[in-house]
Amino acid sequence: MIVATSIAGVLLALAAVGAVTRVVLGPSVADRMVALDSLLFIGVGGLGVYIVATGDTTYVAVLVVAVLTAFISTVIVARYIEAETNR
Amino acid sequence: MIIDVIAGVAMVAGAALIALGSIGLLRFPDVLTRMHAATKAATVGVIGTTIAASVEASSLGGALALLVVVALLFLSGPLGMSLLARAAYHDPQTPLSPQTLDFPTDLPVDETTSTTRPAGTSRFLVVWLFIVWIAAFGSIAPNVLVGGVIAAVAITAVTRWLSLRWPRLFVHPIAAWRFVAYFVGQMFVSTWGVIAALWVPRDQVRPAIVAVPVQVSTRNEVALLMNSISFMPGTVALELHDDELFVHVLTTDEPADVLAEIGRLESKIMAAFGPKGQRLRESGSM
Repeated sequence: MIVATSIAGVLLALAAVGAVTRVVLGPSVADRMVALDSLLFIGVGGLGVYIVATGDTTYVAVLVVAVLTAFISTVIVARYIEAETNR
Repeated sequence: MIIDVIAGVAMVAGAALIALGSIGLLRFPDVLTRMHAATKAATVGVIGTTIAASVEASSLGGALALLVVVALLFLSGPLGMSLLARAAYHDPQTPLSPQTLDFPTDLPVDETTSTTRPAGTSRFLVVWLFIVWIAAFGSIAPNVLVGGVIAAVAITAVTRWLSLRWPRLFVHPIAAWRFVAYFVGQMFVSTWGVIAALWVPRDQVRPAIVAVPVQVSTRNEVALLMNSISFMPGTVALELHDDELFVHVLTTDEPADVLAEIGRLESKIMAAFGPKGQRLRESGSM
């Protein structure tokens, strides 16, 4: 199992580098939002890997909150872009 | 032991999908195509790691809560992406790939039309809230159960009082399972399609916007159809306008194929969740 969790961890770390690169490059708000969303997904995946590695479920509540927050933030940014368009 | 192996495979496969999605985030030409790779392949990947985690979780409550997370991802992920895609499409400052094949020449900015329907039962809501409550506490001690019942009933009563209208739900159980099986199978196929699109040269990625005529009638069906389409990697529903659904598609071989695929999905939804008259017509035509 230690091999599997290590492989998964490395893959997620590489994915995070890619996502941060896209946040920096942009070029638009929507691009950055998509990248930030996937950064959060990487975090959720990482927490899953942590639970597999340790069996410790203390942080599951954090996961629920993070997923909900991601949804709300995506919706808010979408509304913001639309408001900018219609102005 | 075997279950450990399954969990390990699900976890590594999930992490690999997330990583591949990140490659797509860097490689794909515009925001809508990036969305297909990054967030939707990643949603499928996260479901893999979360299922692995719930298998390996040390407590029952933790495992339940993780399954609630998966359910939330199913509900919220595609909805948020659909809204963001629509916003990005209308926004002049967001560059779109010049290769996007635009079938409808101009997408009208929609005014949301809402039709009110008779309020349905809210028993589903009570049950669902109760399950979420138990999962959040992670235990089935008596005080948690009692608190759950009180909270679920109270929240339902408040939404009633605010007169939120819940559309009536028609479910045909066998057809519903058939739809779920078809959907899961199709999800793997289309995830594979997006991964395959990662390796073709950048100028050969051909996104397109197609207008799909829809036949579903109730709001439940429309919501389910848009959510299913947006959840599939490779397609995202932009908006519904009159009886046409505008869908952004990645790597269209033939627009006709995409239309046929969405049509199959739609007929499955109609068979499972359509009102009675439609369901009869559906079974009559098959």
